[in-house]
Amino acid sequence: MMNGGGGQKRRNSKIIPYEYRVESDPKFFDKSWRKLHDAIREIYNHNSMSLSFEELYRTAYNLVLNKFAPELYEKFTENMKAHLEEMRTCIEAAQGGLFLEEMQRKWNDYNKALKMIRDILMYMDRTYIPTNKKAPVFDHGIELWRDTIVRSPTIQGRLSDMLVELIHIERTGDVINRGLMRTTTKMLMDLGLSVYQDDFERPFLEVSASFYSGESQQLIECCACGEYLKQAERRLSEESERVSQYLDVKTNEKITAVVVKEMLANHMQRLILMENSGLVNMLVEDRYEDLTRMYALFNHVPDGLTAIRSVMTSHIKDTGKSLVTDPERLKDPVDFVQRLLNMKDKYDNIINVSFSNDKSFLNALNFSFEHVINLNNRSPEFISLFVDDKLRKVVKEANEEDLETVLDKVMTLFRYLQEKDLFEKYYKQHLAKRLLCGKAAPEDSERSMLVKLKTECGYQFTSKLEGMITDLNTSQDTTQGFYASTSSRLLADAPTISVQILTTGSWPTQTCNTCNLPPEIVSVSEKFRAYYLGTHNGRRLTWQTNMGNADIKATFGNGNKHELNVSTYQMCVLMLFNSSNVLTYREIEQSTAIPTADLKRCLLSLALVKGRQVLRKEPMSKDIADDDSFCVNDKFTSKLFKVKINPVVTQKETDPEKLETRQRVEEDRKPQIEAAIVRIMKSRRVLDHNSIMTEVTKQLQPRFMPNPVVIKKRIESLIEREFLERDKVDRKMYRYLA
Amino acid sequence: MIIQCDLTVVRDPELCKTKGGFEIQVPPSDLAEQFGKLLLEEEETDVVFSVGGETFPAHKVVLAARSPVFKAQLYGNMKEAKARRVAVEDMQPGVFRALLKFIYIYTDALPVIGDDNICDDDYDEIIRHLLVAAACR
Repeated sequence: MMNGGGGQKRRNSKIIPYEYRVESDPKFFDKSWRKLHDAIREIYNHNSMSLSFEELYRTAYNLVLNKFAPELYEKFTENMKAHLEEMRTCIEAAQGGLFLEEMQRKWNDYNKALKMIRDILMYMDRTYIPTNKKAPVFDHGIELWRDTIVRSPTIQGRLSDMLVELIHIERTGDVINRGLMRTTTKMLMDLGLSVYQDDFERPFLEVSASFYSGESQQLIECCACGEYLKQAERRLSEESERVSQYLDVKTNEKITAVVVKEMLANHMQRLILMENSGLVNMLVEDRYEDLTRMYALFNHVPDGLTAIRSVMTSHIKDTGKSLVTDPERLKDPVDFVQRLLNMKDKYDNIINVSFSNDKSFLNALNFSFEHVINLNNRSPEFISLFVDDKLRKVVKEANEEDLETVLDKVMTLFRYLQEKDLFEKYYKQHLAKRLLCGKAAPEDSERSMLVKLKTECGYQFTSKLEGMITDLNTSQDTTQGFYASTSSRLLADAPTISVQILTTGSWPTQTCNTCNLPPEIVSVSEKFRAYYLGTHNGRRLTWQTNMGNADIKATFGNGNKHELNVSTYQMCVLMLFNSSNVLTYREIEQSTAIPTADLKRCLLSLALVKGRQVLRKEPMSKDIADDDSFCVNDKFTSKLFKVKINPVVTQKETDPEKLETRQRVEEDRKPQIEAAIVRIMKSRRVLDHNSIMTEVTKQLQPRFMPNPVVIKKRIESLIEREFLERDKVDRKMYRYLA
Repeated sequence: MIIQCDLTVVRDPELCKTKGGFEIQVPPSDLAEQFGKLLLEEEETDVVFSVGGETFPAHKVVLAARSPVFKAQLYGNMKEAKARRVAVEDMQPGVFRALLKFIYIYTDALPVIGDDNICDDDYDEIIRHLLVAAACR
């Protein structure tokens, strides 16, 4: 605030250089330094409370102002060095465990003193030192400690040895003074990161490598794989804890690498392949905990997970191969597929629980299963039979949600098939049997499966299968229409019929064998034919008598009444005995016109199956001769009123049937290959041989793996039929002919 | 042929806009005035400087916050850290008073010293130099 009162004039200030009092005393520096020196000594002796900061600061201040900073800096350095020499002598004299304690005590004292000295010399730190690029007082003091004490020949090695020795003691289970360790390593850090790294970390890592190399050698000789990995995990955990307790955080990565290398990387193959306890045993015995640990630990090892994945893949392939090539397993397709599903579940579980759902492991699993499933060329048939079994049982077991789960899992196996068109062929056959024998699952379940197949392979794959289901629905409507439109009087005494109208092409190819139906059946079936053709112009109707079934009421000689459920062929045979008591095989064959193989099978099921012998055969032998005779078994008895007589059939294909199916599949592939070739050439116009092979394979791969020889033949065939021609210049080039 | 046309009109949602928010007026800082008052009224002082026969009560925490030299002196490990009375030598009382004013009140410019009883031009220069030296951070 300016004082406006009085007559006092405001004086103009003039800037002139500072003219401090120049000391002319030749002993000025010596006197001043003596004062500072004595004060520093008192500081060293923990008597700083008797000193006046103001006096000391002013003394140093005046020295700098009077241009004695260089001398002051030099004197300060000499003084610190001398003091540090004394300290080193004390530290060196400390024995054993006292060495670190003495080091720590001296370090604490030194830091306190250095801070006070720095404060006294603050003015020099702010003026002289930056100008002359000297180290600041405090930093300079720290450097002197490093060079005089920590790096002195008599202390450097001893210090690192002591630290490493204490860590060794802790590793072997004893308790050490962690606080002392912490302060010592912190001192090294304060001296500079390179001091910590060179004077401690490097020897520590070297000794650690040696320690863990030795320990791993011992452990691997006496421990099972799982136990060994548990020990390795414990060691890694201990080292991390040690770092957090008293080492620099950056050391963690380095010591981890050492433990990983010495305990895991160097023994990786031996651990994985260890007899009775290695990776394969863990997989077989579902040891999730051990597997989880192995995965986590080997994640640190270069190529560690690759090694695990490789062994897992090999094991799955070996196990899978045993499963799919075991002659015993092939006898039960449902069990065969169930075991594959169980195996898939098992490894899905392991990967999910123990391998963190690692994508590379899932891919390896998929790769392995694809390999395994396609080892057996009957897998498509077996998978279809498995689905058939589940769909047949869905009504009985009333578990539609479980069915959905099972079908989803089966679809996983289906995806692995390389011959999906073969599966389609078998699935069509099995679906046909379910539908025509009244064994199909509820339509929702059947369609649910078709939806899954369509999702995988497209509409073309399932269109005919869907057509089959549609046919049955249409047939039901047609039959109802037939009875609704026909006079009840005309059908009063006729058997009731239910007709399945099957669209040619949608259903599995069947040889068309028409036998001689009983007169009662012929009558009503001809009426149906007339009705059907009357409502569908241009259609042809052919009876498939090798399919279908019938319910027959029978009264036997002993008065017993039963209702028999039999096949169409069996019905034709049985009806003959309404008008004849005894018939020879030849007579039956002539009357019914049933093919020989079918007829013999039919008669065997009626005459020789225990509990189902509604006919008697003379003589009683397994084989049937032309002159063998048959008659009704008047003594037939059964606990059941309704008796079901099944034809003697095998669900699984016999070898000739299997060969026939495969040949049919191969035949069906030819037009598909040709269609693919034409599609490709139509878009490319000109293409070389190898490119066609590649493109065709790529296009057809979702359904089946085309045979290169077959592709070549198809190309030749297309050339003959003038869809393609060879280029006149380059024989390997083909042209599309519009 | 029948053509059916469905027309839907979508109106912008009518938001209730808040009326222009009033601003809160923050008064200008009077920190210097407050601290100046603290110095002048000598409230709650915890240290007394003795300079050339005069005494200057002050607050350790303010001095320490404003000057590392005072921080080292008042919170260090020497006798001033525990003393209530600190003797300052080699300094004029007027100079020290100006120094305190600078520490407590001013954040930018050097103070005008016209109203002090210092007559020589030389002392002006000495004062400026000492102020800069003592107060620098």
